[in-house]
Amino acid sequence: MTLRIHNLSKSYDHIPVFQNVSLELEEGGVYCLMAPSGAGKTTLLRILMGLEAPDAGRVEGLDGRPISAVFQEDRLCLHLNAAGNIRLVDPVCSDAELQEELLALLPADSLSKPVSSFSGGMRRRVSLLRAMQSRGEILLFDEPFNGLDEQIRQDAIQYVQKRRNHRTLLFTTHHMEEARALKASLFVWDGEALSWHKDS
Amino acid sequence: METIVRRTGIVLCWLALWQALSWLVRRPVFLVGPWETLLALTRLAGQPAFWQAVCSSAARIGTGFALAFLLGILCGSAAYARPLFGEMLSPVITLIKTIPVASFVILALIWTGADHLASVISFLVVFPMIYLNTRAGLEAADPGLLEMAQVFRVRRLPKIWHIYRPALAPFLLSACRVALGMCWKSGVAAEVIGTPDHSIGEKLYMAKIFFSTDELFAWTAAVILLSFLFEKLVFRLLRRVLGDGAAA
Repeated sequence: MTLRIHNLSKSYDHIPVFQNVSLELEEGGVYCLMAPSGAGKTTLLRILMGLEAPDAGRVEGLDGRPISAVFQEDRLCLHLNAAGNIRLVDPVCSDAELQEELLALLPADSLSKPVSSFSGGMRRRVSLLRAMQSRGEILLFDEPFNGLDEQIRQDAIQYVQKRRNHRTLLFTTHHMEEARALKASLFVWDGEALSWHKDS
Repeated sequence: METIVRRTGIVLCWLALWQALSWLVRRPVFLVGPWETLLALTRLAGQPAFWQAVCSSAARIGTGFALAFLLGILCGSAAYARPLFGEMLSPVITLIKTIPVASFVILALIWTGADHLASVISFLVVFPMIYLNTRAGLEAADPGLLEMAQVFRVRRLPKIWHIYRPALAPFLLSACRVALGMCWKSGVAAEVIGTPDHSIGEKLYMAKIFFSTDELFAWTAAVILLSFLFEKLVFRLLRRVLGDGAAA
């Protein structure tokens, strides 16, 4: 089902974050929002996640469908290990299946340790693994590859490509090469009108 | 190891000072030394009445604590989930917190008699602490994690266990630390006023009537020891349930 965003507007304390944003995301497509900080990328994703209500406009094609997210912060349960964090959002996956998934992005000796002992980059990878492993039909990722060094970033991008399974992906980034690597259609920010348009 | 030696040294130093002071005063009615206290305690411990009093007081105070603990967590969670319930409860909690324990003791004596006095009083002292700290702990749960749980549709039980429980743990533990000491102090004080049969409070009251200061000191030492053991026991249980979050 195509995801349609119609004339979405949002402001905080009468200061507009964005106005009249209209986007169309086809089922199974990969889309990237590129804009400087403060352009409302995170706010737009939060509205799609159902965490905030827009001031005006509407979203179609999202009703009740499970969403999978990578937030700007990692948002992990620090006392759990990587598998525990993933089990929290997907309690049905088997141990062997999970183990294999984790090894795609994490070193084997880290698997038994609580996430609290992980470096920033490793935590980012866990939140990416969690999002890909959950059964969400629409993937909304806020700067998912942030804080990963070059080699790991490549691995992570490949992992997302491999595990996406034709699910719609909308992500934000500051790096053009991430959008290219994922063959994403680009939405760029039109500064003056505070709106997004599709890059041709 | 060094700290153990130092601490033991400090305690011995104070005990010696206490003993010296009691020798200086030379009036056992006013002050008995640690040695006399120990002698009185061993003498008392040889009597079945001592253990009867210890057990019945511990059972009463423990019952009050356990009920307050469970109901405090239950009401605190309900107030967090339904703010209106919290608002309804708020004046009651303020009332319980501000009414002097002595007034409660008299009231409880009239309502329930001396037998349940210590339970009622330790309940009333502990309940507001657990209630308020449960609420504060739940409110301290990471909003980012709660949003994550909402987006990923994490089920209720795992959400409680993995997001709320770690947030609650430090609040509940610090509340228990204070509440455990308070419930023994106020529970025994209530018993002294109500003097229920076979209770530590009754024994303390008798010690006062007969001017047996050594027994007063011995019973006091027994209460301190009981309170300490009770705290260890409760904390061991709590740490087991609250897990890693309690380590902080």
